[in-house]
This record gives sequence, structure tokens and C-alpha cells, in this order.
Amino acid sequence: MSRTTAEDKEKVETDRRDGLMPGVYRPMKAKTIEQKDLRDGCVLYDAHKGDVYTLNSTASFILTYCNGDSTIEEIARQSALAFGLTPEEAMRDVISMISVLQEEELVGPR
Amino acid sequence: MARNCYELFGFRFALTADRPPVGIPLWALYPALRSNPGPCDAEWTVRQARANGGPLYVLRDQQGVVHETGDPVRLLEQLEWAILLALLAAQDHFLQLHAAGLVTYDRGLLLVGPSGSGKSTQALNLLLAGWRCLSDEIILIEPGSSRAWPFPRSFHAKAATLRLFPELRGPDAGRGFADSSGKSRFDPAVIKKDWVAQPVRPTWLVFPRYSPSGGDELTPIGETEALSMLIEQAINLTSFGEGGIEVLIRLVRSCACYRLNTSNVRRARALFSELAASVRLGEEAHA
Repeated sequence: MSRTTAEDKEKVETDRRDGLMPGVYRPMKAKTIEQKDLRDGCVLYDAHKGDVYTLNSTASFILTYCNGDSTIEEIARQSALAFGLTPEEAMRDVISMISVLQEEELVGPR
Repeated sequence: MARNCYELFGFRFALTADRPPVGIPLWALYPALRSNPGPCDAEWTVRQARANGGPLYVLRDQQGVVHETGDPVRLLEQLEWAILLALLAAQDHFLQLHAAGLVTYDRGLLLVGPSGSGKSTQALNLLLAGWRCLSDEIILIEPGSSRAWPFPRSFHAKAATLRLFPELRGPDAGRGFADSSGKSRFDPAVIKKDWVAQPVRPTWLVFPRYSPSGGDELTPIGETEALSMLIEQAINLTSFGEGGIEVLIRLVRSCACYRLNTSNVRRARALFSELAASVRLGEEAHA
């Protein structure tokens, strides 16, 4: 288990400021994305852009909860349970992954 | 004037030269595709003239002049590029992969990776071990069946690669011509006359990586990692859209996927032999 560093906390705070507010934001997978599940992850295909993304099992798990109903906190809680992470680690992973998915326009607000 | 015809799955092309440029293996690009004389879908002609006291090579296709150069190496590279693009365009109903393909006992191995990852080296290695070959560079995947079809061109190999194999130190072993990346054209028929394998459903997907620090090993990898690397090496995935992803997913799911780290061709050959033997033993036990 890695420890949460000051840098991680700062990143979490930055992401909070940037709009990924736990308790408020409920990310939702973009409607244009086709998802195909694999044994250890998934592949996403953006039919509009023609882009393809592969996600590992952790990222794929997080994406599963990007349904417009789950908050960041709820996703982090599920992630902590599934992967045996501390709440801080899970929150850091979830925010980091959703930031990436958001940048690629694979998820967005409900 | 000499005119040679070639054919790949119904697409015919011809190369014509007034006299073969000295030292340029014009007829050795696709020896396995040599076909009967006759009408062709594409024609390229090389004429040699003189300009400013030196040779001037003029490459034409049906539309006109494609390239003019005094450099025979540049001429051949332009010609190869033009042929490659035409062949790939004619076979765009296949999903095309940047991969080498080898076959043993009706089992297919695809070595998938970018230039410099060792595809041609391992293809030569396994050809010398008795395997047949689909290609050292491009594999055509039939979308419906996931069968791998051959794209049999001459191997592109550096002199240093050929020197890894003492068996190849003969008069035909890629001497003379080398392209701007230092690669010569090597006809695999020197090793095995009927070297081109029949289409096959791949059993193994291997992603080679030259590892100078040693530690030769085949490491199993997961579907996501394999698919990610396959996508990077798919040539015409965009023209297939979502259907292309489905083809690659089926390929990954039907194959055992490995990462190969190697710095030694003998040890790599032993690893592949073990892999093939394990499948044969499994089949015998099952029978």
C-alpha cells in the first residue's frame, strides 16, 4: 500500500476546485461511447471521433460507476472495497482517472 | 525490356524495366508473388537515362512519372512504397496488422510490434527452425474467421541481423543492396523453397521486444494489454470502425498472448519451440 503524499492531497484539492467535487459531481459515460468488456479491463470506441481507448481493470471498474447516479465519493467507496484500498488512495485514484476520462470527453456531467 | 507480373489474391501488378539497374534487386521484391504474364491492375516502369554525366532513373505508373532520381536506392524505396500502398489498398477488406506471421503444425504465431521490435529477426529465426511464414511485416486478418493470410514479400533485414545466423553466410544472403535504413532484401526461399504458409487461425499473439540486458522470457499478458498493443499496430482500423475492434477482440480472445523479451535468437527459438511443443503435447494427451 502506498501512502498518500502531500502532492496527492494537493492534486485532490486542485481537482475539487476544477469541478470534480465529491458529493456533487455525478459523472456519466458519454453516450457516443461503445464499451466492450474484456477479462481484465475494457475497450472504449468513440464512433464520432474514431478514437479507441483501452482501460485496465481499475479504470474499467471506475467507468462502470460513471452512470450519472454515483457521486465521486460513492465510486471511491466501491473502489476501495473492490481493490482493498484506503479511502484516501481510492479517492485519489478515482479523481485521477475521472480527470483523464473527462479530458478525453469519455465522461461528463449527467 | 523485361516485364514481370505478380499477383496477391486477385490483384495483379507488373514491373517493367528497360534494363535492371545494377545492384538493385528490382525482381527480388516479391518473388513469392511471381505470376503468369498478362494484363495487370497496376503497372510500374523503370527507365534508365543519363543526365549530367550520371544515371537518371525514371519511375512511372499508368498515370505518368512518379519519381525521378539519380539514386538507385531512392528509386527502389519509392517503387516499394508505391507497390505496398497499392497492395494494401487492394486488400482493404482484410484488417491489416503490422506483424510477422509464422506457422508450425497448422498453428499460427503472430509477432506484433513496430519497426525495430524484432519481427523480421524472429521470423528468420523460426524459418530456419522449420516453421513456414506468412510475412515478416504485414498480416492480413480475415474479419469473419480471424484467419491470418500471407503477405509474402522479401524480408527486410540488416546485415547485423543476417550475421546472427551462421546458416545464412552464403552467396545469396542479402549482399549488395541496402536501403537508407541499412536493410537489404532477403528472399526467404533461400532457406525454404516453399516458405509461404497457408492461411491459419492464429494460436499465439506475441509482442516482441529486444532486451539487451538479457533475461529471455515469454511472459503471459492480459487481454487489455494485448488489445492495446494490437490496436497500435493495426494499419487500417479506422476504415473498419467498431467492427475492427470486434475483430481484434476476437483475435485476442482466441489466442494465448505473450510479451517476448529477448536478446538471443537461440534462446528465443527455444522458447517458441517449447510453446509449440506444449500445444502438441496437450493435443496428444487430449486425443
